[in-house]
Amino acid sequence: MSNREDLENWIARSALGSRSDFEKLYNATSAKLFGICLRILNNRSEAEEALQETYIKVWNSSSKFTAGQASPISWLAAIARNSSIDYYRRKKPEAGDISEAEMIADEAPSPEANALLSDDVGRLNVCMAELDDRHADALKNVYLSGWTYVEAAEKLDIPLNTAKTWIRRGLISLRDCLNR
Amino acid sequence: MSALDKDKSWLAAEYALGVSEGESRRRAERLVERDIDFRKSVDAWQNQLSPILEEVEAVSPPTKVWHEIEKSIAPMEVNRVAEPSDSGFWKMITAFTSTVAVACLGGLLYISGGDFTSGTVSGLKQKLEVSQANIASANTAFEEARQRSNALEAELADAVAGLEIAQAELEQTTGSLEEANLKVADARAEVESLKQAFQSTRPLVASLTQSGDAPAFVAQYDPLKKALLIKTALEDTDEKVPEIWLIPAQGERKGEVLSLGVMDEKAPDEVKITDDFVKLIGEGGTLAITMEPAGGSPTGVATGPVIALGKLQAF
Repeated sequence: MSNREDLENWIARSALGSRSDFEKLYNATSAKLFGICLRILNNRSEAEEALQETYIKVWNSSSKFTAGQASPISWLAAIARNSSIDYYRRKKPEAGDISEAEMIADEAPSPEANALLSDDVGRLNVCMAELDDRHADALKNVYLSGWTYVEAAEKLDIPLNTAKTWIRRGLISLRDCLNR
Repeated sequence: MSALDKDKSWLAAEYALGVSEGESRRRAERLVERDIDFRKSVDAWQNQLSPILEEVEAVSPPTKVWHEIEKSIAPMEVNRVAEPSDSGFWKMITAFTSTVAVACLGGLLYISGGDFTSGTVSGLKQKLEVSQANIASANTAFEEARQRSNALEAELADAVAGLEIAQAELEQTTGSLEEANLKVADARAEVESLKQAFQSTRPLVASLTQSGDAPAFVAQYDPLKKALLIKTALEDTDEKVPEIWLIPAQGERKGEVLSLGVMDEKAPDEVKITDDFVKLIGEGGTLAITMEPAGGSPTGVATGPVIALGKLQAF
């Protein structure tokens, strides 16, 4: 079972052009990333394409990965998610930008000084449990499926403003909790 | 790390979450590349959210995906400047990062991953990163130029083909145009001859009078019999006979005074019209009658007085 250090090593060596290390990285992480793509795209052949794009991006940007900043798996997952979301959004016409008009009086969360936080599943679950069920639910769905606010509103059958409020409140509560 | 403004802060959160779309999303993508603080904020959010992915089921992708990936990544085994003994080199790097990480938890100022205290290590890593980036972008630029060149070549081929087709079409059209012109000319000629034929077959009448008196002659031209029938109330005089003259209104002999013949005992009512004159008799033509000595005018032109004059009209 590969650990964080292994992943970091393989990424760093891929940055130097080592195909064998890149392959090891692929073997260790592709199943998880493929699952992530499938969850967003719900289509096997599209997920395969998105996965391909993902790893090409990983190879090309491996030198940009800085060990100690982002955890390797969340870095990889983010590339996979972004590739899948981009692929998904390319297919359909955009709903257009939602104007950033003030709907919540809340202050935006202050950026985290200690950027290094562990991907501690337990901690997240605890914090998610503290959230209002609807907020937590909306947040999870949006994250896993790559929905836009408009889609969230449609699929959860709520008004757009409500979708936005729930998700933003969810983000704020989550951050506050994780920062304790 | 400086604080992001509120706008950017939400943008970072939403980008990491995946909800941002359209212009916002593109803006976030640009900022991630250029704004180090923005990038760190996005990374922080991603770190916090990624445990949600724990529940995502891992699915093995088909092997063809790996083959496609292999093909796409440019083969470049860059010579390692420092050959690591085992992974000692890299262990050193990660050891540094762990140290840095520990320092951060105390709430101290964040040190970016590249800021190692050891000069040689950081310098080396940076050099390698720079050359990697240069090679990658050179490859990309070359590939782009090659593709652009291919695209232009294809466009040129298309344009040449298009030109050839247009030329062929033009030739065809020009050919047809000439043909069409000929056909039109033919048709026009036919119309003309038909017109003439038509005109020469129309029955005509003329009331021949002298200066407004009651008609002394009524002439009828029968195109089928090719004869001019003339009814007259004129008394015969001893030696003079009426000669009929035609002055055509159109055609080759327009305005000329042509003799159609005389009316005498042999032809008291009728003047036979020869084929030559059939063509010339038409609507608007003038008929005139003069009194000539027996046998008609000796000179070929009218000598006697004009006793009647009239225009031919369609019957």
